[in-house]
Amino acid sequence: MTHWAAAWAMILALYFGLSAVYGNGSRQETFAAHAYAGLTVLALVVIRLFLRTLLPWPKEKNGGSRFLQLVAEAMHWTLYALMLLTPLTGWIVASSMGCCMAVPGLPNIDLLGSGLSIGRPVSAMTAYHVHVFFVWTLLALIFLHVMAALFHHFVFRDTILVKMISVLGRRAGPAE
Amino acid sequence: MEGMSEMHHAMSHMHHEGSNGVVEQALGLAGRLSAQLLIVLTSAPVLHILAALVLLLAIAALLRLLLAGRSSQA
Repeated sequence: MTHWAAAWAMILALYFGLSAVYGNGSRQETFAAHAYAGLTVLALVVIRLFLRTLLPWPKEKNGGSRFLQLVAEAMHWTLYALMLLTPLTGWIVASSMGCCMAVPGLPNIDLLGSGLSIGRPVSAMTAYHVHVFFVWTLLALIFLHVMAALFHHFVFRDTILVKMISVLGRRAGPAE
Repeated sequence: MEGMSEMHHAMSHMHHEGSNGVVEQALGLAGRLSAQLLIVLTSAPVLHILAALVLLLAIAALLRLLLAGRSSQA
């Protein structure tokens, strides 16, 4: 469930993010919607990682070689890292734009753990450049993720995609 | 000193001419991006949130061990 919820939240975050930068409507409201969608992605990936650690996670046996399995594993963990770091860098930008683009209810991230002496503060512009870089990398990885799922379905002919999209399973009958 | 100054001028002129190349531009962009990545990943907000996440996952791993121990006893 967290998989599809995070996918929809990312689509919304991308739509509102692009609208805030290039759209003609109210930028402040669109920016706030972008921030809430991004924070939803952050919350969902934290819940998913918690559940992955707490519960035994199903390991799929697929038709790929050992190398392909390693690539798939690396891609999944890179996706998780980007789904954490992209909203986080966006939160840093939003926290330092309190003057002009305040997001109602969003805590100032710079105040978190301010009593601890680890790390340094970061400028909004640096965080923004890294945020944009993460967004494009995340989009490229999501494209590869979708292509890999289609490859599994049509080339390896395994049940990974059917298990992820329950409608396909119902149409095709019970999986072997 | 005058010779040094002339050499410095010539070198900086050469560097300026070379900086228009695609490779140099790509290297400059990659260098800037790597520096920005390093600054952001070692910044206070990112380190605090990542430390909290590691703590949360450690609690989940501990709970998993406890639950496994309890179910094997039952």
